[in-house]
Amino acid sequence: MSSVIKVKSVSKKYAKNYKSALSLLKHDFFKSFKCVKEEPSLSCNKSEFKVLDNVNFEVKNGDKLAILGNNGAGKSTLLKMIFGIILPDRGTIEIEGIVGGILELGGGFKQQLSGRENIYLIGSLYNKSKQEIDEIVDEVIEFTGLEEFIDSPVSFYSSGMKSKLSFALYLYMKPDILILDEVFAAGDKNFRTKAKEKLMELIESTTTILVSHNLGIVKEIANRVLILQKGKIIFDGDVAEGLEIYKGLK
Amino acid sequence: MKRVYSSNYRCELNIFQLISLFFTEIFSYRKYIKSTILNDIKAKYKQDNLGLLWSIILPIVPMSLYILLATIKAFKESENIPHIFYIAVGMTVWLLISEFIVSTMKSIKKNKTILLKSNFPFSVIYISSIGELLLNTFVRIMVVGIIVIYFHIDLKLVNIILGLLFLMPVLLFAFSVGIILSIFDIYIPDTKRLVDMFLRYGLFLSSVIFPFPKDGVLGELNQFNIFNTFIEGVRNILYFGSLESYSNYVICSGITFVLFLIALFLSLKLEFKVRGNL
Repeated sequence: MSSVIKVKSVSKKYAKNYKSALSLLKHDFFKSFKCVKEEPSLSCNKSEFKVLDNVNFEVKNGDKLAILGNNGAGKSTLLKMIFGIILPDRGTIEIEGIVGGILELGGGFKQQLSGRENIYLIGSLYNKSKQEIDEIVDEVIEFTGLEEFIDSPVSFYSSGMKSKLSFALYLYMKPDILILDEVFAAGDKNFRTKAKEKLMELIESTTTILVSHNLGIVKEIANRVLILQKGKIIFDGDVAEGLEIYKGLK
Repeated sequence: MKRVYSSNYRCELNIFQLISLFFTEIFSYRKYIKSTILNDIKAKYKQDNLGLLWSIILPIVPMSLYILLATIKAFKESENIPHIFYIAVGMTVWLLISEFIVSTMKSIKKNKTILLKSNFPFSVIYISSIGELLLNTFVRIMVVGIIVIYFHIDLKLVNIILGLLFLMPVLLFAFSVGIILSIFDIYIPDTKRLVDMFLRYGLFLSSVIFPFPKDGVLGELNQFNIFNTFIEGVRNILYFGSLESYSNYVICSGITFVLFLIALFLSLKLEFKVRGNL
């Protein structure tokens, strides 16, 4: 099977602080014009720390990869790089296909618009035409159970209602590579059962990267586990073995 | 489509490739841009009970206020152009520039959530933020139209077409300045306040509501005021069909084009660095 994601020698460091905003602007400004053929140095001074350190792995088409690690291990930074939100300081990430996913439930909604209008807006973000969204809009609304409120502004929704809408919406967008970051707590018990069934259907047909502290879900979904600790991969392989190692992490 | 992200991503792109990238991004997200602009316009008048009425009243408040002051002779009047028309066009162009600068400048911070959760291009965010501006400008142009009809001001069709053409560099100027300031705004939070202060002074230092004196130190300095050149240019072309001096307008348009290239260069090259600092 071909690889859809190739993460090669990726490292990233962040600054703890900067002397002033102007020095940060100057730093970023000049750095973005310098095309260095040699890889930049990754030694950290006192005001910097490494988030990811020489991370290498590949994700094959159809893989269900769970990324585990304690807080601050570098999981979110890695996901943001796969999404193309931030760039690595060293190494490369190759992506083939449309990356979509749920990084934060409710994020990205326009508060003053209705739930229905937000469905069309998020749909267009995924480059879906109006006709394509027309075909799924009723199904999405029915799935959320928010028929009564769907034409009210999202600002009037409770956080649970926003989560439901967000979750349902992303389920129907069908990306090539699905990224799920701690998103299994949306809505009430009934919704969770329904959402899980639908999500499993989607996961079945999609390459999935999952970040969760819920080991039951990891066990159910993943066919491979990758464990990060202080920015380094300490395990990449079988789910059962990975979960044991993760449980033993301090 | 295969994408490769590295620290040198976009680094080797030259200015022509950056221009092409900018328009490609806009084209690929055209559906989102269209729905965001339309939804922003809809949302604006949906918020209050008198929503639609507010969206007509609020954009014309500053214009009507200065027209009112002009009727009590609070300002020096223009000798060649009916003063009500002078103020209406001046304010429409001034507010178009200032609102365009401010909305573009604020757009990145305003869409922080979406930019931190998806690889949404900055260029699309900039363009999508013009919904309210379009509505406000449309309302103001309608008011100018009403003034022209009511006061029997003789405007030739060719002048109106020329006026719209002369508006193009004005739009490009405001957009470019807004993009550059949006980057500064992420790193230097004082940017917003400085811009706000500058625009308050700018209204009275440009010939928006009364002709700015051409003599004295300020008058000499005002020759280099790009806002003044654009506002007077559009107004004179609308009313007279010609300009006193075309060279100033051409120079300002040239500066605008250079600013646009700088804005593209900065926003497309710094985009990923800026995201890291949002």
